[in-house]
Amino acid sequence: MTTYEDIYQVAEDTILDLKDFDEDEIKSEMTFEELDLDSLDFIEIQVVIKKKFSVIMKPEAFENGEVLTFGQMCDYVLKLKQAEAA
Amino acid sequence: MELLFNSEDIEKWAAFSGDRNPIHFDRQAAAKLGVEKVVVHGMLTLLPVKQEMASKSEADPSSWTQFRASFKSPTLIDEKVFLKTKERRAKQTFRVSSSNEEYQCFVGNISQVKPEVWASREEVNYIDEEDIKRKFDKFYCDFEQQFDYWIWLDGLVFGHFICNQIGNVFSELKHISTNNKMVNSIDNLSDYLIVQISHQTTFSSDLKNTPIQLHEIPDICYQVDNFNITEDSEAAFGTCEIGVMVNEQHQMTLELGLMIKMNTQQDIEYIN
Repeated sequence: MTTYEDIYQVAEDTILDLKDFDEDEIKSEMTFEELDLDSLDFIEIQVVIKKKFSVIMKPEAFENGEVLTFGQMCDYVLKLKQAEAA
Repeated sequence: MELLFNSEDIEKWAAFSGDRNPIHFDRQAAAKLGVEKVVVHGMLTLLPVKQEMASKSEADPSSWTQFRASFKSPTLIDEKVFLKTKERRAKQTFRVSSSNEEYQCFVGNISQVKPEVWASREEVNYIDEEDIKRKFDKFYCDFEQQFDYWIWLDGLVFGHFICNQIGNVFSELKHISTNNKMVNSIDNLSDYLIVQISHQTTFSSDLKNTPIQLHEIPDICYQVDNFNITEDSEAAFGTCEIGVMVNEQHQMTLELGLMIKMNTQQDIEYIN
């Protein structure tokens, strides 16, 4: 069963591949602005999440303020996964 | 490490790959992307980076090597860019940036991974023996730097795919209409804006150790499969995989990350 930690690890690894952070710099409370993610970064994260967890992150969740931080994004993916399993 | 690509380099790659997108030759075409100079092919910019990173990667005979690059912004003709590397979590990472680090052109890494298994029922696409020989001779004649064999093979299959099999990607799209036009080559993609957003090459230790020679022309074929695409009515993005067989053995998997949009008056065709 997919856990929050599984999602966090995959998403963190993806961001570390894309941005110049040290391994211990990324925190769950960091906003996307603090992570300096651009549209292409978001696309890559969406592609990786879909490939690893078979769920699609909807842009609305990011646009309406539901998902503002890295940790909230991992929570959101977990909920999608749980809903799919239910 | 400093990288610089001129018009001669662009022509060499275009002749090898078949990619003659106007943005790689014409300033006005490139200007529609918001850049002031002609754009260098992404796969061309990756050639020296692949070689450099492979030299830093210690291959384990029991594992495969995976090279991955994510494209961030176009590399421009005659503009110096710089490669920096850093080790992170058993990966060698790299960044290629402009001289003042104002923008990043592409980022990525190389690492050792478990050997890949390829299983597909999709059509097998064979590369003609004469083409293989011609492309091998041309690549190693035109590009003075002696790139490893896997780098040539990666470029060979990529070029063949975009010239002959890109229609496989469009046939997977549900929303973006092709208006019944045959879309199987980069030559008839003018209705679309296509951007390659990533390139991943995973290859066997046998391939890594293959010497640069062609005493016997290998049998090279590939299959396109494992589409992972998200789309709406205006755009699609995702990945597809290309399993490459050399003499009937699976030796390499390419993963291409693509973004596709219907052309507007402002947008033009762009494939890396």
